[in-house]
Amino acid sequence: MRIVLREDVETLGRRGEVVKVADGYARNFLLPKGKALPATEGNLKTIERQKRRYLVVRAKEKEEAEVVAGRLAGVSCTVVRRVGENETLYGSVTAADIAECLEKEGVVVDKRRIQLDDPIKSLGIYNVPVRLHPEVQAVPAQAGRDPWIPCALAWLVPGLGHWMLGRRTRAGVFFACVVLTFCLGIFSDGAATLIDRQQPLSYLATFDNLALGPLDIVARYRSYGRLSYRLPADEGDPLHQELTRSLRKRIESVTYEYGSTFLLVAGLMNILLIMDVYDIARGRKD
Amino acid sequence: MLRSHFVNLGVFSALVGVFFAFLTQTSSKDRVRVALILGGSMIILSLIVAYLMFPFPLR
Repeated sequence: MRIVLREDVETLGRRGEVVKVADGYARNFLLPKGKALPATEGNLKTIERQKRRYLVVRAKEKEEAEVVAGRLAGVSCTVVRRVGENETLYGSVTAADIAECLEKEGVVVDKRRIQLDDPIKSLGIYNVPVRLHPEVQAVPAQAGRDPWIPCALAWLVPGLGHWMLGRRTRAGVFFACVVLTFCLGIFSDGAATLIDRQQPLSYLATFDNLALGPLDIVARYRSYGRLSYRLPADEGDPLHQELTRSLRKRIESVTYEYGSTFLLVAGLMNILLIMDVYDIARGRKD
Repeated sequence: MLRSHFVNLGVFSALVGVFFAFLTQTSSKDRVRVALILGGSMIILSLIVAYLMFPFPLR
């Protein structure tokens, strides 16, 4: 059956659109609920008129929402609660608390527009998105939040950046994933990559290893018995011979390829974590 | 340490699946779904590729 939508229906389309749906779906749901009308000529004309009026109203609403979003961008809220052990709050912080706090800051927002899936129950800094309009979403900025410090912490210890930003569960899981991957790499006789001028990709792999922060130092000591990043070009160099000897021992192991892959993947994971922490700190991601 | 190819594949897929599930999803339900889909598809695709490569000579 061809119908014309009287309002936005997520799975079908926007107001005023003509769509084809199953007869039963239209008769039993869309038409009785007033979400659509049969696509007759008369209905189409009526809906078209309504749509034009609706678009004007919606554009005005969007404009207003953008103004509020602009004001929210510079607002941070501090909600004070008593805290128990493990930084757990007595009670919680709900969307209504945030709306009240925003009101004190001079921004009036309906609490239903505050997108807080679950009440906040532990101490931390949170970015709470506010859906002001279907096309406008605001994320209150975290005043004075410098993304570089959490990023540096994320580099030093996987997950520490997320911990600092209040994402405790994620921090724990990320720490476990990266460290476990790293340990599997180390104990599977994987080796950290050395920069070799004859192999351009070794630069990328070394950079990837470096993303593990102090863990990379552990990997290098375990791989070569010293902190080396570069394989000397001269084959007669004693350092070249020593590093090659250590690497050969590793390569002889059956699990060397697996180990080195695990080490590289641990590094890639930490690069993603650092980028994720940057986005969270800048308010681009929850 | 882990000498079995399949155990290595399983552990690797599980770790990567869980990592990306937590990186990209926020609700527990979505995380479980994404971790299972990612981890499962990595194992299945690897087995398919391994099966296709089976006739190749070892050396």
